[in-house]
Amino acid sequence: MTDSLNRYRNDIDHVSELVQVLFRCEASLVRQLDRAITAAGFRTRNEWFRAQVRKALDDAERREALGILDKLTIEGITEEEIVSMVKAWRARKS
Amino acid sequence: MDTNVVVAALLKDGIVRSTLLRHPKTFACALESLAEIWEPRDEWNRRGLPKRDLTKMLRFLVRQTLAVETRRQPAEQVEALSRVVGDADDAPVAALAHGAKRLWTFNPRGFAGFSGATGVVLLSTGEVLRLLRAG
Repeated sequence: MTDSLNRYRNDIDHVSELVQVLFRCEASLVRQLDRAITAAGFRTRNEWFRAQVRKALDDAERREALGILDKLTIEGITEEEIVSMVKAWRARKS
Repeated sequence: MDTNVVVAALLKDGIVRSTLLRHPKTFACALESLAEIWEPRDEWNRRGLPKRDLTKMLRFLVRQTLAVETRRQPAEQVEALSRVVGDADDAPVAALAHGAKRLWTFNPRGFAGFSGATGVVLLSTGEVLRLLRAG
């Protein structure tokens, strides 16, 4: 019991703020959702929702980062040029 | 993976970048490599993107793409390996590769002595792709 209380306290301590999110949704959709998320291995709607939020945020981060990588691309640069570039950084450092 | 492979993922829209993106958290990278790349960012950031964008991109690489070794490699191991690798700055990469037994690099000559002394297999991009295909 003490262990589980400590774990709970630890979880709460590491969450800066909890908010409650309410949705309106057709009852039949929620029933379908419950079946689907149970089949997918989620124990609660809350657990599923958190996973979806994290996934959406990861997807957004990925899209944004890929856009930045596109802008960083140097056309035609070769592996040999990259090796020389790293050697030059080190030579300047030492 | 060697520092120059990470640089290729940043600067080259090619097979290295797409391989890392398609196989998230498969390839390990030394934290020292990222620090080394970050330092001269004005040189590779040729379009002058704001620091905020570079930080976002690195965060994505660390969180979602690369398996970044954040524990410090044991100092004595790094010290010992720095005597074997051609360039002492490669020692953290060598220490990481020592555990993985394989190293993806564009600079096999620089790691030839290290490979001979430790048995770590040096892989070109083509060899990495063949290994991935073989599963």
